[in-house]
Amino acid sequence: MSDPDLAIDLKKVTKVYKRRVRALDGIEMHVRRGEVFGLLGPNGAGKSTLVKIIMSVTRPTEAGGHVLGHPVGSKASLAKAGYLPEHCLFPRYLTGRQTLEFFAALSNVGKADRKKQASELLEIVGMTRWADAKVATYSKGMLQRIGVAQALVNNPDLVILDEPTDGVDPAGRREIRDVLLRLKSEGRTVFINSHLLSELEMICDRVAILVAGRVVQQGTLDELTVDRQSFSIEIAASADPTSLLKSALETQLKASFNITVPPKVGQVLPSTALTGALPDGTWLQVKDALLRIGTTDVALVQPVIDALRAAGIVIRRITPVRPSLEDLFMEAVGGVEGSHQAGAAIGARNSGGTRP
Amino acid sequence: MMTQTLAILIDAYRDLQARKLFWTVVILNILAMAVFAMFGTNDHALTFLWYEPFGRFLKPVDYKILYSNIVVGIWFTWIATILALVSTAGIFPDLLTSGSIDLYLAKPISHLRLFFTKYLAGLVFVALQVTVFALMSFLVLGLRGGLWEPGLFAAIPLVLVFFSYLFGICALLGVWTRSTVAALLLTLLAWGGIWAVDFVDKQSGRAIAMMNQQHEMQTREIDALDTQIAHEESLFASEGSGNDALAAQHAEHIAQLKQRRERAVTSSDRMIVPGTLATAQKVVYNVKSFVPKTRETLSLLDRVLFKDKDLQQASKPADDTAAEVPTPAPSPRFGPGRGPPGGMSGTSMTLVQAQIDRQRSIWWIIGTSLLFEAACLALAAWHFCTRDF
Repeated sequence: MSDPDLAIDLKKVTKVYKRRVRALDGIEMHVRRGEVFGLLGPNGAGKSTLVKIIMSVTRPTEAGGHVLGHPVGSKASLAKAGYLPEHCLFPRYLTGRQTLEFFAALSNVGKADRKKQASELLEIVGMTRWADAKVATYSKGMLQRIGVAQALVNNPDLVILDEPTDGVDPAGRREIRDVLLRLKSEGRTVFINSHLLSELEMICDRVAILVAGRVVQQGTLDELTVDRQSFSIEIAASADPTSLLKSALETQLKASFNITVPPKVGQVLPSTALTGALPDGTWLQVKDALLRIGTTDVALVQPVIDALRAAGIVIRRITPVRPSLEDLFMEAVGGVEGSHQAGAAIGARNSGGTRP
Repeated sequence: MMTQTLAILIDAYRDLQARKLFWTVVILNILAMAVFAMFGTNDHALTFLWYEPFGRFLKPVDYKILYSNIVVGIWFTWIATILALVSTAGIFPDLLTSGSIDLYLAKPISHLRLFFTKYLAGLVFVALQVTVFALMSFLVLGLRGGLWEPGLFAAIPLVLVFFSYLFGICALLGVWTRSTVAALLLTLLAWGGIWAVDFVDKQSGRAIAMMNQQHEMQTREIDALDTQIAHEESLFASEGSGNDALAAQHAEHIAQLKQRRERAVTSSDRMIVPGTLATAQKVVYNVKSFVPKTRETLSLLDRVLFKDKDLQQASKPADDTAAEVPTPAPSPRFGPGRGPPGGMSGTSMTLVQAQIDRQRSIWWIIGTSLLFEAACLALAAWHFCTRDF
């Protein structure tokens, strides 16, 4: 049974190519209806393969779950899905308008609706002026706009876009972003595969990070960064701000320094910083005139502020800090690659592959 | 479903039009037919435009043979087919280009239907071309040869079926290699192989048929000589006794007859088909059963255009008034080719080849060829449906 609240519900999706290349390894992924979902991952992580399996372009080795209520790989789900592939290649002999009408016809849209839909979409993606020029004459950005419009010709419930802003100038990116937000406001589900993390951060409700064919992180940005969020306190400059902060915290709050900070924190924060913790376990980090406190609870920050003020330290700024998507991405990629390297090293040791 | 099919067909037409191929091929077809239309026939001569420079009579059936040999045998069989293959060879490789195939497969159309609709698009292109050409042929033969032949329109399905054999191979190679040039060249290579098998079959079949025919003729001659020798010997027995001069005359005549008989027997023995040739022909025939019969499929048009009496008429001198005027030489396809054993005339070979072709059933010619095509398409469709894009 498929969950009606989920547009995409993938279970154990696996793809093994010839020569036993395992592109996807038991993917579990859930995309709720009406949300904007971002898929991130380094090159070769299997993102495009996953998208192609969802759109039944590529056959999975093994797949469970549903897309728009139909089993994964079923053509029935495609009637209400739109797709913009990466590096899409439109027939060069067609005009932009003909392209939209042609792909609308392939989606079984009636003739009258095709024409109306094409005109509206050309307007939305800002291509009305070039609608009757041949696709062969279009720039990369114009092709992407037509590609986005093409993905919407069948009035889909689910729109899957593979690198939609690839080659598009900043103004075009903004327009495409607006189109996606408009789709979201209309209650459609948008699934984006992109390298532009800052853009995804702006529009995505939830993200999944794919590394080496596996989902290593999945959820809202808040969910994914909850144990990495902190408050940052910047003090007025002095001769040795680090020692000043350390001394104040040790004296006033009995903080201890030079302890090991949890790995996740260590990767998010500068590795050269002085790290420590309060007696209740809240981690601290001092780097020059900046103090970071590992909590999202404002009440826990108050004693620290009091202690600093009691030590005569002037506070310049207090800001809540949340790791960016890029931080998360780098952390996830680095973590997996690190474990791969460690695994490889262990494998080498076990097989006697160490140097004499 | 029709919306998708029509969209793909119209798209194929737009593609060909954009590459200037559709109208280029139409114009080339018109030019070819226009050149043929320069020649015509009236009630007493072969004409060139409005003149009679050749001064020779051409029977209506010979004008049809001329059409069959030049237009069907050369233009349709080779030139137009190569043009059609060049035009359509890119259909599958272009579809399978990365970035293009994703757009198609992400639409609610099954892989199988997409494959066969694209295949149909290639055939529709050829059907349109052949229809235009058949209409032109009908008018040219009617206006320039006085032959109004509705049977010419049988060329539409026949040429289409003939082309479909090659297009099936081309589709398979296109899906397999994803390269237009490779698909085209390998299809031409395969066609060359088909032609080679047909050539061996045709030549061995002709040789066997002609040897059998010669053997029969020699046997009849031997029988006639035996009768004549017996008659001479009875005359010699009744009239020759007592008349030495007459007896010597009869004896000499009988000796001559016996010499002729000896020669006929020797010649007849030479005309017995060697076992190796018969076996080889059988092997080639069996091999041919598994490959497309391209020549024979187009030759079916001759079955429609030419009745048995037409062939007989073609083999005789025109008529009394034209008896002194030589008839045109029979065609390469109907005609001589390489000289047969026993030095038979081209006209006899025409009849022999026509008889061989007509002995072969339509089921064997088209049915087995379509089975080959179906196998190619099944393999191509399977590969198309199961490969990763």
